[in-house]
Amino acid sequence: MSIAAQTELPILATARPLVTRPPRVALVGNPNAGKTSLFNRLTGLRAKTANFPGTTVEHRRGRIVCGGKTVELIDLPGLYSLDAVTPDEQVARQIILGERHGASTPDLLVIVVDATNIERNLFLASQVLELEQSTIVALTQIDLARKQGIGIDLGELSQRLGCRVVPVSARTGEGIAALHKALAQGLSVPEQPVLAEPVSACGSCGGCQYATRYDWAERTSNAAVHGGGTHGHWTEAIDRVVTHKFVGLMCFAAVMFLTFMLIFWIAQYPMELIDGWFALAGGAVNRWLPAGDLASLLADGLIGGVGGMLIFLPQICLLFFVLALLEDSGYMARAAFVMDKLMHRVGLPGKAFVPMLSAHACAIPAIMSTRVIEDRRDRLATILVLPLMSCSARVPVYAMVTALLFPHDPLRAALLFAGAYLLGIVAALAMALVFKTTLLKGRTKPLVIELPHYRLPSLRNAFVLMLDRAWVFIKTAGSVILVISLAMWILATYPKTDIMELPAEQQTRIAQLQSAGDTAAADALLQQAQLEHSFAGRMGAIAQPVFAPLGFDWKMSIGIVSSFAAREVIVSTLAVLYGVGEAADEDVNSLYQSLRSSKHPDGAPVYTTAACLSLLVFYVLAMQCLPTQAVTRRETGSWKWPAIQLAYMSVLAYTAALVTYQTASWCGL
Amino acid sequence: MSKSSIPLASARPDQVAVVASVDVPADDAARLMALGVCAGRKVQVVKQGDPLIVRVVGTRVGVSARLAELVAVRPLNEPAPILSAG
Repeated sequence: MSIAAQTELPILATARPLVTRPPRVALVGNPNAGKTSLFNRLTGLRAKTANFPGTTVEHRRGRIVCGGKTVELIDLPGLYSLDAVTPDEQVARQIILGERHGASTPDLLVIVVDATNIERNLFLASQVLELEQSTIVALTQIDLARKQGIGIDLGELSQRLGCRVVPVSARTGEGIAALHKALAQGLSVPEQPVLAEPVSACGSCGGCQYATRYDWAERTSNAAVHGGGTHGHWTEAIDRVVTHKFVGLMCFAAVMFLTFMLIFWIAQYPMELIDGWFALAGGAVNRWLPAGDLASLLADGLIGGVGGMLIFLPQICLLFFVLALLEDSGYMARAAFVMDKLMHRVGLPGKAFVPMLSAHACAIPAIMSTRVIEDRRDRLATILVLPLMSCSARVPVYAMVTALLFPHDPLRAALLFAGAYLLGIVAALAMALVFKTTLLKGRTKPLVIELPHYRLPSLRNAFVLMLDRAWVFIKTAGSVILVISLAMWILATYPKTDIMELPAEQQTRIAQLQSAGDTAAADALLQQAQLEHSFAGRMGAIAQPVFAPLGFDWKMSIGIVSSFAAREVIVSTLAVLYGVGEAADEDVNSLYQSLRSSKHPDGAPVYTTAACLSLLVFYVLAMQCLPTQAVTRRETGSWKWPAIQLAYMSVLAYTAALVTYQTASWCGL
Repeated sequence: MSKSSIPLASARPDQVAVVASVDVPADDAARLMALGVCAGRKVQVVKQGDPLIVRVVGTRVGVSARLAELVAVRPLNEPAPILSAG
């Protein structure tokens, strides 16, 4: 930032007051340097998450008041060096250098240096200081450094770096006031840093800028930092266990098992609450509005659709929260470390494993957590296969099929359930290998990962991250869900069927039921006829010949058509089609009864073992989730990838179900 | 690779060594060297294997054996635990 631009600013401001913006201060630092904690400490919870325009790279920004002036604070993605490798690092670099379209360089850079590991952090610091932009250094975790007996000569450090150095602790709040003051000062009187000793002593050293830079960092650190060395004993002791070839894998399995137990166990309570609220809301609408299309639209279309999405929110939030805690503690790097070799066999890096596990709760947070994967092809391959993992929304369908097949045999039911999960995992790994050898051909990126010192994770940071991610989920998935809920409602409601249009036989039955006082049964019958003649019903009928080789009758075909956008819908669609009525949620057994007794026109049972297995296989492998597709589009930045996802999964599901049905039928099942 | 240097992947655990050269493909090299595995740095293998763990500039870095094969180090005759952070 030149002095000229600084002096021009007030003139601009008087001429076009709308252009004035608060000065921008960017936090720059290594991952794990305590940057996010410092940012949260400075902004409180007032910050918001935003994407850099035209990218999926997120950052947090918030306004703070420094010396009476409003300042915009930007938390840049962590980076190890300005020679950016990952998209996150590239964006951070562009922001620092003012290379991003429409944005000048920040007015002040704050280099966040971890006081417990100054030498390492000085590498990036030297690169930033050489840019000769107005800069100050925040020495974080100063309390921890003191506890470890690390003595820091602040005067010496400040003199060598040629800029102001402020020791702070985001944990205790120590030094935050001084940092505020330094920010205000740095903004009002911009000072370019002047390194006491140039980083590269010989200007012609083209060889290795890394080596000279680290030499400089070592000299600087040796001059200004003394003592310490007790640091890391705990980390080493823990790592001896958790990075062990076998024990490490078992530890990882245990951590993940506990995580999921916790998530599913805690989430059930808010999920029941949400379910209850939406049922209440639907009931209230039906009571207060006259029966008709409007009430049905609100109760079944909107409230039902939104409720169907929000019910997964507790699981998603908990997943984000626990993953953030694990990341913050330093454990995630170890998980990637122990899984790396195994994952390489299917062409993916170790970092792809945690997203794959997360996908067993929901593919959406899993796709969002693939951002840690550095290589674009590795990341795309992971995103493409994640929806194959059995997510929570598949559970109602699995439950229905296992109950149909093994109503009185819990052992076999459990085995079938586990088999469905296993099929999803095997399919995902196999498809990953297929993608990495064809469409996304390329060497899997070899592992290079920092194993940071373990630390107590910050609940607050995890909470902030969870809120951000949950909001992204609601925004991205929510809008899609609203649209598809409406579309599906229209397809299932129109054209309307009048009772007079029904065949005489059905009319008499409905009349009989009504006169017998059984209005519920009469309504159910009418509903059934209504759905049959609706657009969705007709589409199901058209699609039926396509699905016949899989052993699906027209009702199942309608179920598949209606669950195109959200797979769990099939259960309620079947409930309506089999005349159990929409109250079937409370009494699934009556649904299972009528499914079991349903017959083809020729008298053969519809839900044979072969047909049930085929349906199960289809639901394990089919895409059937538009919100996931919307998130894939958001994360990959193009519709090409969700399209590929949909295409390959549909082909896979159809083929596998076909093979299953034909084989099972041939075996006489 | 000079006469006295050996691949990082064959360095004895706890042996302190100085990195002599890093001959890995460019984009892997950038990451490796930004984390401190570059000529002139003292390194110490904490755990051999694939991936292996190497201690460098006050932290520990997990490195795939495939890359560690391409990093040449010169073992030093110093007592082992001089590198523990700071």
